[in-house]
Amino acid sequence: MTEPVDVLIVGAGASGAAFAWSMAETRMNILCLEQGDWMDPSDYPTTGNDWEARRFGDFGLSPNGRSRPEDYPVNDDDSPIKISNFNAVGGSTILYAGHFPRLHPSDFRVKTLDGVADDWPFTYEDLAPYYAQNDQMMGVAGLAGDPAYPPKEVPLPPVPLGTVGERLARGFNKLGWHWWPSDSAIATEEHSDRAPCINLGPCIMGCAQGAKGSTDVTYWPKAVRAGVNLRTHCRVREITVDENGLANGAIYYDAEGREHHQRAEIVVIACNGVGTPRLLLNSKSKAFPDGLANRSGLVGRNLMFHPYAMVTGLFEEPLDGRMGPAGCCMIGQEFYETDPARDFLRGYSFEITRGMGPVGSALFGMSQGLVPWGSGHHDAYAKIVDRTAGMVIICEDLPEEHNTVTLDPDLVDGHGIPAPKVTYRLSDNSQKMLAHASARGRELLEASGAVRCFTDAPLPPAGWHLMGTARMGTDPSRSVLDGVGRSHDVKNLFVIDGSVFPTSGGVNPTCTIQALALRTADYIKKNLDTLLD
Amino acid sequence: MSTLAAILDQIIPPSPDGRMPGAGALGLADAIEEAIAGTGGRDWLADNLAAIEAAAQDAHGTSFGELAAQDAEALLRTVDEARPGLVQGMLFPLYIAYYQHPDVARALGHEGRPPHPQGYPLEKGDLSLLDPVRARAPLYRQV
Ligand SMILES: Cc1cc2nc3c(=O)[nH]c(=O)nc-3n(C[C@H](O)[C@H](O)[C@H](O)COP(=O)(O)OP(=O)(O)OC[C@H]3O[C@@H](n4cnc5c(N)ncnc54)[C@H](O)[C@@H]3O)c2cc1C
Repeated sequence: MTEPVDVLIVGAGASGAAFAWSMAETRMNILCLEQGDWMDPSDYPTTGNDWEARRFGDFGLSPNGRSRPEDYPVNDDDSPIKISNFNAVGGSTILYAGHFPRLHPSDFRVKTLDGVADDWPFTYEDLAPYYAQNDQMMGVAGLAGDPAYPPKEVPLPPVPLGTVGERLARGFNKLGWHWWPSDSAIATEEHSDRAPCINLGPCIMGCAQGAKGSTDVTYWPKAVRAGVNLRTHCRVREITVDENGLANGAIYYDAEGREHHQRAEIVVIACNGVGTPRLLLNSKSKAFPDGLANRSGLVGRNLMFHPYAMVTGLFEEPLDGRMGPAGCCMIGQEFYETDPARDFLRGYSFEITRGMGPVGSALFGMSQGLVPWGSGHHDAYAKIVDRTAGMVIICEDLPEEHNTVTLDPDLVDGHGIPAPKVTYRLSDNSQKMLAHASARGRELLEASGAVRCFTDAPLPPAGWHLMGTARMGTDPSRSVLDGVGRSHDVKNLFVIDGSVFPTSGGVNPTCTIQALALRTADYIKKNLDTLLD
Repeated sequence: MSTLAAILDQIIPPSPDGRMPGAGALGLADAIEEAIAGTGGRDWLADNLAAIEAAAQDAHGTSFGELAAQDAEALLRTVDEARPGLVQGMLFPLYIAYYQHPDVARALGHEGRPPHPQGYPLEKGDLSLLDPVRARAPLYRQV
């Protein structure tokens, strides 16, 4: 069970899966420890009539409310934005919407272009081949030719627009604003053993069809077939170091709660932007009294979310929004790049979302005071059901050292391991951007024919993009990792998840996280002989 | 009909055209009772049901379930005003139970089945709507 391995990966989510698959060709002894289990798609909510109710139970977004045995609690009381994640083989991609836009070239040059935050230690062009490789592996649907991006290929045809998309497209065109069918990690045709999307609706409750590219159906089956050992129900407590300050393995608890020390030559952490700083901060030793790889003091600092605005429109005529990939329809990037005429730096993307199911419509009607109980109920409800469409708006978040993941002094998980605490404030820049974005979102919905609009900003549960807490950079005093994700302090320790982002961009991060993981794997493969010199 | 079922039938009554069923007649009372008890509201519910029965006896000399629809709704509103949160405390579990019921879904013109495995057809949409966007110069900043 605890034979030493060449490469130990902690976490089997978006990044751990991509990295494991890429490394498999080396035929090294590769082990991934994951605290969750394989999911059973036949148990996903859309297989039952109670699919909408399970959002409030075992398929909730917050680990605190969901409280599966695999979950660890997160104290997010001191943040207006709450953590959403999932802990299983596939990680948070089990719940993600699959919206898959890349960063823009300018996102890698924030300091140079706008004089704030930092540049990335490489360029869009450096990452482009890994984006392309990842698009193939994840099965990305979309349309080539988007003028918001440098030219790129897209493997599969786009997700259907439906009546929601067409309506919003006309609104965009009326205003002369950019829009494009979303890059979506959703197989719109059979792709690599995956069945095509049949428009079930709520991708964020797991895809029973297997069409959504969660990594349990994309990378993992291939990685396991190629010889990677994926051990589930194994929760890592800490990474251990030897007398030379090199990582030499991890202490973890197995399904029965037994403690093990797994030894390894190379350790790779892929626990996401909250789980990774938690693990590093829990890994204290003589050489690293403030947590592993933390000589800069920056582990857990510079936490970035994307502050979200949600704008929902009510329409008079029926729409088909309860069907089709809920979070993948179209993207709008008219306000993505910095414009000096605005009162904030950087920008945002519109992610057009579809409508609501019957339960969601009733609860929305109740919360907005639109649907009374009693004799007026049915007439009012009929004006809402199948008549909503809208968007979430993803705002770039800039890194600030006071936004942190630390260890909670009291809270622990089921194994008694200290749990993370999140402390986060919305910056002035983010508040101005959210206000601008919300107003433009309403303008778009009105141009599309909405008769009423409802705004929620910042959207409380939108702590699903977790970035910055072990940032990359060239200066060891201002960053935790170098430009390939290797710790400045510990040369056989790598981090590959969203923690590594120096800045956040204004798009969903997962294709970038995975491209980075593939790039780190490539670096390790090419430098195996000299890696530990 | 139990007191709770009769109350549910006032919160979501049958629609006048008979298309939408009443929540009480749909047999949801047990599920609602269970949901409320599950969040620690068993005593709260029992207390409120007793108060409604007492009010019905006081005002009409009969049980709540025997009242004509109009009287029942008016009485429920009166008691709800005196006991704020009474109806509100039932809405969340009720809306979930009612609107996920296959009969209700079918009455709305939906399929009344789980989304999987049949799924739904969806219009691909008219991609010529992209023509004005295609005609634009690159939007991304040169670096
Ligand atoms: C509701 C929702 C919607 C989203 N929608 C989108 C979207 O449309 N587009 C997009 O790009 N992104 C989206 N995301 C975000 C996306 O899921 C994440 O960016 C991505 O999964 C992060 O990858 P990761 O590898 O960093 O971490 P994760 O995928 O979160 O994986 C981390 C893994 O590490 C494991 N782990 C953590 N700690 C330990 C430990 N101590 N021991 C053992 N195992 C451990 C966890 O169990 C988990 O499986 C969404 C997320 C959510 C929750």
